[in-house]
Amino acid sequence: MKTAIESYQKAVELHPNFAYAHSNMGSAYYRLALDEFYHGEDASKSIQHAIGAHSRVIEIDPKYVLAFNNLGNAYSLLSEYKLGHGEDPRDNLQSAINSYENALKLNPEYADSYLAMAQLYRWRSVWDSVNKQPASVDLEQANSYLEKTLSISPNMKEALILQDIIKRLGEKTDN
Amino acid sequence: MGRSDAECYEGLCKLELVKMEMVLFFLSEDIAPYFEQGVQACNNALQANPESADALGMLSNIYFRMGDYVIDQGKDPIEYLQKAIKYADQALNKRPRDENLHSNKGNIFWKKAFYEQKHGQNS
Repeated sequence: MKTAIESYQKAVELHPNFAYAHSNMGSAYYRLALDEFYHGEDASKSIQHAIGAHSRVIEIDPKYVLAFNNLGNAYSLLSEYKLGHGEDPRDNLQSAINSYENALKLNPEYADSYLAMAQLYRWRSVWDSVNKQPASVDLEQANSYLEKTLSISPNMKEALILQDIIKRLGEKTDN
Repeated sequence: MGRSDAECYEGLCKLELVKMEMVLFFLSEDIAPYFEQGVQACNNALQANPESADALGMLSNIYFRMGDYVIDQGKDPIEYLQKAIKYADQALNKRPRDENLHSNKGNIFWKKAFYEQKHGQNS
């Protein structure tokens, strides 16, 4: 992945407003960060590079829906990383939510962002509960984001998995 | 061959690449015949003008698309992706300040790394 990043870096050095190359570079940094994260390595620099690259895409083209979604993914990973290091992830969670909301403003049928919002709201709820904080998100809203995802993409695997988890958790609580 | 011949061959090379991409993205057909035609057209272009960075870049893309296709078929794409990198490097030797060539080369490395990670290889 690092060699891919080097090539994208050369492309954007030659053409600083090359949004497509910035976008791919951001996504490559994100994949690198995921790999580092799941191998217990320091992913913070790669995540910050991903955030920087996707933010740059938005500067160049403020209507680039995918860039807002990708920026949301990067902030979401940063919040997960911070949580894993005992830091408060709420600012980054909020940045992720803002990014997904911006993506949805530009394209109200963008299923990936609805699913990400559903996941983030649920996660934020868990964080509030574990840290004995007042509920800061509405779980009904999380459910409605999931329903919206499935109304747009009824066969989206990740959405069906989340729906199944919620159903099982509900059944467990009921018992 | 004259200069105009080389440009015609480059045009055919581009046409074959576009045909291959259209079949890949919009039709569920075997792209191997389109791949063979594309390689042939680009090799003709390079025979007419061995210095053509455009023909080398398109040949790189043809191998990249074939690599992408064989991944979808559950096969090993590395041979195709390595050739895609080889031709991208040759194109960049001719035209080192072409941002699109660098970006395309990034896409090939990305695909290769993604495949290798998924199959437990170092990338």
